[in-house]
Amino acid sequence: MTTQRYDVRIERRLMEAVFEARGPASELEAACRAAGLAWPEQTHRMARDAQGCNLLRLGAKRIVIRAPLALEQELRAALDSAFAAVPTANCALVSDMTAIFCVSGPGALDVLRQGAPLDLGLPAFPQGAATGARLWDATVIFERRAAQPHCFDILVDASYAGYVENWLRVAAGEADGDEAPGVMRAPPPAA
Amino acid sequence: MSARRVAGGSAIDRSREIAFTFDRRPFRGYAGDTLASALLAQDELLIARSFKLHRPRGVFGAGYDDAVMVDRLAPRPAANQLATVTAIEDGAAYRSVSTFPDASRDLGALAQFFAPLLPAGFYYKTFMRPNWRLFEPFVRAAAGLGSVPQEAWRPVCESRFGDCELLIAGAGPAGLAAALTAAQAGAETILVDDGDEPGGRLSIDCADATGWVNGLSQAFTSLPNLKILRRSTVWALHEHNLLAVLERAPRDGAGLDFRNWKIRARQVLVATGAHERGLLFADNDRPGIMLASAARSHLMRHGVLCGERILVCTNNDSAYGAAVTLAAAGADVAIVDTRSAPAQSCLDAAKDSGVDVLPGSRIVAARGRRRVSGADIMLADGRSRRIACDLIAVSGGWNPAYHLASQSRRATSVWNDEISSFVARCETDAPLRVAGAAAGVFAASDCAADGAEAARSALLALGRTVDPAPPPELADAFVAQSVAPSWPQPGKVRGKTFVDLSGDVTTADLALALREGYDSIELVKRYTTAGMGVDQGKTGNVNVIGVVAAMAGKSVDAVGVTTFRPPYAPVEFGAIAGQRRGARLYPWRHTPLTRWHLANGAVMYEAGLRWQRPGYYSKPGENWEAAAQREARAVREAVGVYDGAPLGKLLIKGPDAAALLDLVYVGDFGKLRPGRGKYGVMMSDDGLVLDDGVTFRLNDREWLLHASTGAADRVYAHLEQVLQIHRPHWRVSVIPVTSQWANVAICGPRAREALACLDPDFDISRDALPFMGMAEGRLGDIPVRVFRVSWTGEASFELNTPARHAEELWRRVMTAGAPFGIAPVGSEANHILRVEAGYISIGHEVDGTADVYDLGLGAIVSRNKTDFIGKRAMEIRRRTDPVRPELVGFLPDDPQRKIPEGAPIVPIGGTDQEGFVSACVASVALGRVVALGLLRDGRARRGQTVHAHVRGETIALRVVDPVFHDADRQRVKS
Amino acid sequence: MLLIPCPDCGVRPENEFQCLGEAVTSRPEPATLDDAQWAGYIHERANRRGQHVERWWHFACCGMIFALSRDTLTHAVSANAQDAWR
Repeated sequence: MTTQRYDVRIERRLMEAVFEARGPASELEAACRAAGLAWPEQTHRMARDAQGCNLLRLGAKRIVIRAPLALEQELRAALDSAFAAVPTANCALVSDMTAIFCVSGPGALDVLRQGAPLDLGLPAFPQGAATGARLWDATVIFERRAAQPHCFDILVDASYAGYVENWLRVAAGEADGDEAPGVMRAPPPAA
Repeated sequence: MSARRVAGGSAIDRSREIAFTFDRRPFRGYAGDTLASALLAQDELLIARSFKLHRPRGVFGAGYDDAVMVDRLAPRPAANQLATVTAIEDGAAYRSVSTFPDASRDLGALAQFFAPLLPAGFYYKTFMRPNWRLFEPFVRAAAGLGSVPQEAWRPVCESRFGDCELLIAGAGPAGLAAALTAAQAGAETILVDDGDEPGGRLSIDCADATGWVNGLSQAFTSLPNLKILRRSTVWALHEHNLLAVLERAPRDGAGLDFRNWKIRARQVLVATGAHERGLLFADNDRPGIMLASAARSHLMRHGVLCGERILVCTNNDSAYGAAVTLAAAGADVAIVDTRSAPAQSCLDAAKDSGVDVLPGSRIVAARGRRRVSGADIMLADGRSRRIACDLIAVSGGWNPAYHLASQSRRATSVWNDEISSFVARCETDAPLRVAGAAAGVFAASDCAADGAEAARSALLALGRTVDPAPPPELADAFVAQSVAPSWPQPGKVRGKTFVDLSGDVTTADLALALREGYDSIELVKRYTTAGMGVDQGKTGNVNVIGVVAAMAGKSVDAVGVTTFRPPYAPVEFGAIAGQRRGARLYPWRHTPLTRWHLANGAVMYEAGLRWQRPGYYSKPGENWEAAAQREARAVREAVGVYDGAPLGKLLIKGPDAAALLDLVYVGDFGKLRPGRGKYGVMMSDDGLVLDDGVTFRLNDREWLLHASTGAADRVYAHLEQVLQIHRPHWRVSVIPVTSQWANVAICGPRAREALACLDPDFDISRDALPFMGMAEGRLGDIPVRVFRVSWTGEASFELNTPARHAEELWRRVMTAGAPFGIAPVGSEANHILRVEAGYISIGHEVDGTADVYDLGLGAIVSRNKTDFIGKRAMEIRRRTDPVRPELVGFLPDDPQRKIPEGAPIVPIGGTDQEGFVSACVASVALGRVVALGLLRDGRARRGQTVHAHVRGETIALRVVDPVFHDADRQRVKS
Repeated sequence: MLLIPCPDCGVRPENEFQCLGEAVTSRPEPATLDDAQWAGYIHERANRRGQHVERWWHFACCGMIFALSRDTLTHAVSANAQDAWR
């Protein structure tokens, strides 16, 4: 166990209600508005509504929706019905396959830039920005929650959670880097 | 006659003495000394042996232009450290490289007697008979450089990305002026320099620059948009302005030994200075011969006067500056200038310092072997003279170090007659500029002006307008002006004239290369190894090009330069790797059940795309084979359960979804009813199998496509390309949901009984839930979707549940199955089960050569469709090559003999491979070894005996049907 | 690592993409081509030295497949007025 190298906090968040929707841009917007969600004006931004549902536009034809787990059933029903009304666009529940990490603190970029070629710094990636990108060898979604100090949410396929967490802790200097594969560092918190 | 420490030295701290050993002898130095300067201070000149001939060698340059390497034995053992760059540490031990027992008394010096047998390219001509292999071990041992440290020291290395608007490589006068301009304009700027403090050569050449440099350092502290990386080298300029920068010992409190940056800069300014080059004369490699700028650098930075009687040999003005400085430090200095009429200012300065000048003269040979003792000069009138001296300081001109600009491939090398060297010409719209000495501008003030102007131009491209501050008045009197050409034809001189010290390449080697027809400069380089050594030709390449031009009768420009490639300076592998080592070399993926597997004795294997899956569950006293047998037997006799979560899953919706499936699969999918599944094989358009799997129609609108674990990404990519490139008007959406669903697969003759114990709220009878059917409901309180597919040759129920319920469901299955003797099943047992049942596996039987018919799956190919992806190519292939590799089974004559998977099948006495064994297992159903494989014309050869070959051994196999269990699929459908 | 200009997301690092190789026409009707022409569609590529058109898939973010022009010697990527990286 080594002393931490950067002033950063790395947490694994509890499971949230997460949905991924793909399809023609007009259908996505129509269905999401019909389900009562806030729609961001630009892509690569997120919009939050009063209940805490967060819609991330990752491209013309792809969105991700986050919400507290308690809202999962209700949101699922609303989305199922909204997407049943459009011919092509589909919305899938992906809560169980989405691991969420929060990396925050003045040293957050010192850690994240070790694995992310994308410029996550401040003029380039402002508060409210959300986009898909690469972090080491995993595909993730970055969302900036705060600017000072830095706070990022990272969404990644749950199967990669152990790999990403190991890298984050090694990059921060918390772990000494001699981890064997096949060993989860810590089991995911129960829903 | 000796080198010694004198007053001065801007880099050293005389209050901190340092003790170290070199080649097991003790030495002392000061903090701030390099190994080279500390050894020179104690008159230790012979500190290395040359690579090929083991000639005595000493320090030639003062930084990355030198090639003397040492191994650091302690602390932090490391091989091949550059002596002119390595800072000495207290208690350190260094050893010369590739010498025995040490540099001074090296036995390898015997190589010099074999020099006639070791010209360029000798290994094509000598040491061939009777057998090269007799000589190979000795040549290989001699060809090494340094030795790998025996003790492990793991430096802490970090690799990191960065971004900026302007990156300036080099903090000499040009770089500093550029940094000030850019930072004051508000641009995000990074300034990179390999020294501890900025200033570059100003501390050596330009004593009155200290004030300016200090003033800038002050100004920089109040410019937060300027980041300075010290002790850092820009070692590569990759495409789209991605720069690799190695930061050594960063002092930001992070405790790192190295930080390797990959910085994307919108604009780059190369201000990396220039390298002095040497002169060509016989035995120009002796200890005690160094670049004039190096002699000056060792004096100004480390307070080391490298000789008492110094002969400065030059063809340009810059060496006069060195001569004057050396004379002022107390040496007896004379100048030999090839130019017959040097500038009056040079002559006056020499005279004022008491330095004799011999114009129109040139050095012909060096005297002395282990160190320089004198020089043979040819005077202007043709007479010879021998001059006694203990240091020859040479200056043949200066080569702008524009390597990075050339690496970008956006600049060409152009010969500049005025400075007698090459410079870079950047493309007009390239986001790249060169300034200062790297651009052939040598006077310090001019460099500063050039740097500021380059920054202004770069800032303009970034959308910022700025008026740079006027350049400082910096006086450096003698710059590399009026360079006389310095490449004579090789005359009849005794002794070797070296053009590349690092590779021991002489002018005779260059002549040999040209005589043998290697006339392109790239061929000359590779044949002679000139420019391929540690210094990568920094001091030698232009001399090589000049000599080749003179010998071949071409202009220097016509000969051209060799291609510049990274790294610019030596870089440690560990620094590039950072923390990407051990487990993190590649990603790994877990299923939701990994915790349970590990807690219950699973030995994990890597499967498919980086998934960690149980290979087998080990019980005490069992090896993997016994465990696999036990698990497979449990499935055959009762019930087993395995974790199928990594199976690829794609959710497909849209009015054209059925059309998509009909296009990508060989079978008919359009008419599949909701709640039913169908086994499909997907081909790529070249007619070879891409993947197989069962696709279910979930409801009116949605389909769930299953892909093999290892092919999931490929299949998703394939579908996206079909939809976006080939059928852009089709309305289909595809969402990957592989990790959303855990897959608990119960299989075996008693699987249904076990399932019944789980309290399903839906009908699981054979009629309600037939083979290839699905059902949705709950098992107790756990929501599931059940798919009736099988890969084991037994009745099977794949229970899909959202991953959050996975562990609970699995536990309940284990409990429910306990009375039946349920066993968790790993991939080893799965392999046995599927081979017995004759099911193909992507990566084993499907190796990219067999098509659907070859694999015995012709029955699933649609007879109605006129087209599907792969159909046409498959037909062409079957028509032109009708004898096909076909899937068959093999039974070894020896029923217990296992055959390694992949073993080739070759007829006895023949040489053409006719097939291979793709899978081989100890079958639990048959109690003997069975195998599958591909065999040319296999189906027609059932009953024949063929032979697999394993390391010279031949194993007889009988060809049979490729299914050993449940051939009629009754168990699977039960 | 190249910088790839995605029409949907702007300029992004290369590792967010998968290169799909030289751009060819979308899949022709097999019935309209003879065997040699079909083999040409499957296997033959111009493989130019210099400017060539290729497709990229932005799988890490928007999922779009698009074509761009790249010089295989200098890596200069198709002109885009807002794009400062070349």
